Amino acid sequence: MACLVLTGATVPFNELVSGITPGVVRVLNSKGIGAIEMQYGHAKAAFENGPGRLQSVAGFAFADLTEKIQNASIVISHAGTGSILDVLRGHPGIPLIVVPNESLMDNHQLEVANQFEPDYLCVSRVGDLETTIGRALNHTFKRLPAPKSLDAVISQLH
Amino acid sequence: MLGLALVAAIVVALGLFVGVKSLVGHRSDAWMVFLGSGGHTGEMMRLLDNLSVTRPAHLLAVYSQGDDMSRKRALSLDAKMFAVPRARKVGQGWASSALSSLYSLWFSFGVVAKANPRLLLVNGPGTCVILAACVVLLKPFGVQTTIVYVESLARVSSLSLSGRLLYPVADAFVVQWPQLVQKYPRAKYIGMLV
Repeated sequence: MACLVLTGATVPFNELVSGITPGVVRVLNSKGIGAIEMQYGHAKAAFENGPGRLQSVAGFAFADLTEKIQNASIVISHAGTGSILDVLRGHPGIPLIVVPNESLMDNHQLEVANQFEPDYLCVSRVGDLETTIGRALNHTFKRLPAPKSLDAVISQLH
Repeated sequence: MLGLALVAAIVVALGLFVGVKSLVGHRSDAWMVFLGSGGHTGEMMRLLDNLSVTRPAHLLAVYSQGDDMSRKRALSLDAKMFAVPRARKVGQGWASSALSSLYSLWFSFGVVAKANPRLLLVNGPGTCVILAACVVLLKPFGVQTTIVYVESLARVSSLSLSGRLLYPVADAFVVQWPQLVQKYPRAKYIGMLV
């Protein structure tokens, strides 16, 4: 069982990278999740000085995430809409925890995340991850309905 | 003297009209789509993926100069590709944004006129407003492009700047959260599209 941590590819999210503490890793391990893989993006230093030192944590800067999402059994992600969609569409029903980046001053991230909570994901602060992981693993998440097609709108135009 | 000036003005106006008119290509069945970088491009790719009956045979994909991610993703669309200058970079000041927007408009004008697409599908950010402006400006010269704007999934309770600018001009203005229809009655909501 593996945990995938997505910290975003455009803006470094040092708080989430460093937030994967020995305590968080212990909680994951105790739930049978032995391997943690993290996309640290532009936050390489934060990774190397923090979770990168832990034995069960591996990291990468950028990669195609499709397969990694399919193979994960839980995902902890930044609250970017693209990543939320990648996870909810790529692995329906998977426990997903999203951590809004409070230093971005982008309230839209939190607003969107809140729309998906509690049916599709759990929203957490970095400091609350240990308890949120327990909550997410005990929760049954719904599958996001298939997206609608623009066909309906466009065929009315012509 | 006044008469001469009037005649000169009419000649110049006619010349401009004929000049611009000659730029406008034959009406094409293709759609022009804008890949606006990052999450905008991600959502646009999903929107296109979800089309079935209205999927056009030909796509013209426009992306911003220097946006390599969108250029790479456009390759998978089997589309004719155009790179246009950005209207505004993140963090750019207003005066400098106005200048770069004018340059972008000047450049895009020719692209839109020549392509004369059946439909323009955009979902932000800034440069997509430039493409829509080209369509509006070129209407008197025979461009009959339908403008479809899709607001980002990230917009739950308010529109983005591009959304607010295009709300009055889009032929179809689509949002992805029902709350927005109450505030913006022209908006259409049919569910999540991405």
